[in-house]
Amino acid sequence: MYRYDEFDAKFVAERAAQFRRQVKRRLAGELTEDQFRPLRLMNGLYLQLHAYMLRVNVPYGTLSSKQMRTFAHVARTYDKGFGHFTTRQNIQYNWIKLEEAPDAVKDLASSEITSIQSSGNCVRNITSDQYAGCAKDELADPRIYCELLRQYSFLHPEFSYLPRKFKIAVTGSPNDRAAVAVHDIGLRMHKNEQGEIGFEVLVGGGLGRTPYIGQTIRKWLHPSHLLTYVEAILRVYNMLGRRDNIHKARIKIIVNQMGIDKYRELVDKEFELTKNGQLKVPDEEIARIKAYFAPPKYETLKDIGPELDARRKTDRAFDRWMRGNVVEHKVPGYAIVTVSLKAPGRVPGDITADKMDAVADLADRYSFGEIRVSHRQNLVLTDVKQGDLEQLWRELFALELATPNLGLLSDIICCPGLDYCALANARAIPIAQDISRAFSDIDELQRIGNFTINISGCMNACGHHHVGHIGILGVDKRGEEFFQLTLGGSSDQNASLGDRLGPGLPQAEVPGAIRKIVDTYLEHSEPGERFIDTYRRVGIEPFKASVYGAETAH
Amino acid sequence: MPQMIIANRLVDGRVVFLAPEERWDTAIDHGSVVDDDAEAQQLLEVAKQAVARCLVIDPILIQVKVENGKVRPTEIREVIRAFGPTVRTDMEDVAVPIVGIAPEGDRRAEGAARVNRNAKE
Amino acid sequence: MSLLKGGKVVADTFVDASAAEAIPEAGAVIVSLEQWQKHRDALLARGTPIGLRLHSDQSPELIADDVPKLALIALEFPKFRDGRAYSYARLLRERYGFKGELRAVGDVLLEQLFFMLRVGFDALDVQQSPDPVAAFQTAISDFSVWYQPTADGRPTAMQLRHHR
Repeated sequence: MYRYDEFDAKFVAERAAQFRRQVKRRLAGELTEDQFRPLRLMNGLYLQLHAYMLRVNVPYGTLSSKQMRTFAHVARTYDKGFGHFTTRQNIQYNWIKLEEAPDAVKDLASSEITSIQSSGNCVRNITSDQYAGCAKDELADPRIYCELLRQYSFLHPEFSYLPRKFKIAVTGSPNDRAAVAVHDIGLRMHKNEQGEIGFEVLVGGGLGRTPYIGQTIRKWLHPSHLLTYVEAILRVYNMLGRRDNIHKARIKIIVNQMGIDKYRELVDKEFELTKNGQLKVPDEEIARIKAYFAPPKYETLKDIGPELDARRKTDRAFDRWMRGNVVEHKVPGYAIVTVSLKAPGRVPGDITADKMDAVADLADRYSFGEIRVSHRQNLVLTDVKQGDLEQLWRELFALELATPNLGLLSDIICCPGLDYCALANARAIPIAQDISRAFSDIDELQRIGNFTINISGCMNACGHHHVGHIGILGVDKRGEEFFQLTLGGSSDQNASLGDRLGPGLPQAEVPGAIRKIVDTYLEHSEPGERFIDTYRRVGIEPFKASVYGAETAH
Repeated sequence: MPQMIIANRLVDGRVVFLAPEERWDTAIDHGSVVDDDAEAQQLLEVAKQAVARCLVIDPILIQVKVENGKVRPTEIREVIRAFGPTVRTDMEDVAVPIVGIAPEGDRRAEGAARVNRNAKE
Repeated sequence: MSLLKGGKVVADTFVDASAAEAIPEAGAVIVSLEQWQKHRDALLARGTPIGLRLHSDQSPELIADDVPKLALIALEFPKFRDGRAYSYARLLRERYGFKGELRAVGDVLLEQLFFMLRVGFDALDVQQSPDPVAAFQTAISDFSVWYQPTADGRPTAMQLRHHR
C-alpha cells in the first residue's frame, strides 16, 4: 500500500500544525464560529448532537495494521472507546472535544492518516473496491489512480470552495463494488478496442434529496489524462455550478439541467486546452505509485477446495461462514474474508477499540498486515491462505466478527441517524437492530440470498437508501418518526434508484413490513433469481399489496 | 409552554443548559426553565453573550415539560441531546446469539441454544 | 480596507468607480464590466492605468481579448464560500496571460490567502484584520509542499520527486 514519502509526511504535519493554530484562534475568540466552521469542516470536524465528530479518511478503504491500532488509540484516548466505519470507507469518532482535536489529528498524522477534506465543499475521500488488487474479476488495481487523485485533490487551491461537496469513486472491475454510478465522478476501468486499459468517466451521479445515476461523459480516457480531465470537469463545475441554493448545488443538478451533451462540450473544450500541460501524468509517476501497490509476497499454493468442502460437510457452522463471508481470490490458495461488523442487535459499522486492535493482530498474522474498509461498513482481510481459513474463523467468532451475513438481510447499511447526527430527522440504528434481530436465522438468510437493506435517517442519504434493494428513509411527520420504504435500488454496474413503496410506517411496523416483502419475493421468485431480479421482473405492485393491503395497491 | 436554553459547549461540544447565574450545566434538571416569552428572550440574550465570550455555540430555546422536578424536552431530538443516544453499544444482551454459527466447543454455542429455546417458548 | 501586496500593506493607487454613478475624469480607475463595455474607447484614450472589477458570475472569458489592455483586474468574493474566482484567477494568469495586478476583493479571509496566492492573486483586500502583515506571513509559511501545478511556479511534489 502507499507509504508517505518525505513530501507527504511534511504535508500532513504542516496541515496538522495549521489546524492546531486555527483551533487555538477559535478558542481565543479570534475566529467566529462562521469563520471557523469551513476550516474545521475541511479537517473533518463536525459539530453533532452530543459533541464534535471527527471523520477520518481511509483512502480508498486501505489500512495497515499499524493504522488500525492508531484508530484504536484515538478511540481510547480521545473518544469513548469505539469508532464507526462509514459508507465512504471513512471512520467517524462521535465524542471528540475541540480542544483535543489537534492532538488526535497529530497522532493520526504520525501514522500517515488524515482527516483532510473529509468534509467541506471540496473533493472528499476517493473511494474504491474493497477487493482491489485481489479480486478475480479485476482488470487493474484502481487504487493506483485513487492515490493519484488523492494527492491531486488535497488542498487544491482552485477547488477548495466548490459549490458543494464532491465525491469520486473508482472501480477496476466490471463488477462494481464501489458504487461509481452514484458519485459525482465515477471511474470505471475497462479496455478500449486496442486493448488498452483506461477509464469510462461517469459524471453527475449522486444520492441525497435529488438522486441521479451518473451519465457517461467520456467512454474511454487514457490514464495519463486522468488529472487533466478531472480538472476540466471540476473547473466547469466550479464556474457554473449553482450557488444560490445549497440543495441544488451538486454537479448532478447542473449536468441534468443543461444535459450531458452540453456539459461534455464544455468539459472537452477546457480539456483540449489543458491536456498536454503540466498536469498530464508522466509514466514515471504512475510507475512510482504502482510500485507501492505491488502484490504481497504470496506463497505458491494450490486451491484446496476439496479439503475445505470436506470440512464444511462435517462442520455446518464453518460451512455457513464460508458460504457467507469468504470469496475467491485471484491467486491460487488464497481467499478474501469479510470481517462482519453486523452482528444482529449491534450498531452496524461500529467497532470497539479492543476489537480494532484484535483485527490488527489478525491482519498481521493472516493477511500481510493489511485491512480494507468496505462501503457496506464491514472490514475485509484480502489475502488469507485457504489453509488458515478455519483457524481465522474461530478467532473471528470469538470476537463476534464472524456473522456470516455478507450481502444478506442483516448486513444492513445504516447511518448514525438521530442518535448522533445533527442533520437527521429520525433514528436509523434502532431500526437496523430491530430488523437484524428479526432476521437472525442464518440458514434462512442464506436461502433468501443477496438482499440488501440500506437505512438513512434523513434525505442526505448517507445510508445510501436509494440504492438498497430495500431502502428505508427516516422522516419526521408531525414530530413523530416514520419510515418510508423504497424497493429495487442497486449500486452495482446495473445501478438503479429505488421506487417508493408507500406511506411511511411507524418504527414498530418496519420489521413486519420487511417480512412481508421477503415473503412476497419468495412467493414470486423463479429459481436462481435474487430479490432484485424478481423485483425487476414483477414490479412493485405485489409488494405494495402485501405491505399495505390489496385495496391500497392501486 | 415551559422553555429553556440548550447549547453545545465550545471547548468540547458537550450539550449544556443555561442555569441560574449565567452558568451552564450538563444536567438538564439544573437548567433554568421559564414560563413566559419575555423571560425566554432574556435567557436568549444571556446565551448570546456566552457565544461572544466563546463559552457555547448555537444556543436555542427549546420546549420542555417539568414533572416532579424532572425536566424533559418535548422534541425527540432534544431528548436525545439531553440524555444521550438511545442505542446502547455496551450491553451484552443487545447482541443476539445466533444458532449454528459457533465453532464446536465454543461456550457461546451453549448460550445460543439457551436463547433459542427461550424464544420458542 | 487594507491592501496587501508583496507582504506589505500598500496604498491603493486606483480609484474604484465600479459602483459609482460617474467615472472620474482622469487617473487610474477601476470600472465594472458594464462601464467598460460602455466607455471602452474613452477609457483607453486616457492613457492611464485601467482596472476592471468582475462579479463572481462574470467569467474572464468575457474579457479575454481585452486582457493585455488592463493594468488591474479585481475579482469579487461576495461570500468566502463563493469559490468561482479561484478558477477565474487561474484562467487569467495561465490562459489569457494577464500580467497586471490581480486583486481579491470582498469577503477575503486570511485563512484563504494561501489558496489565493497559489492561483495567481498578488493583491488582497483584507477588510477585517488587526495585523494583516503578520497574518500574511503566517498564511504563506503554512505549507512547503504542494501537489498541484499552478502558474505560481512553485514546484510540485511530483516534480520534485522526478527532478523535473
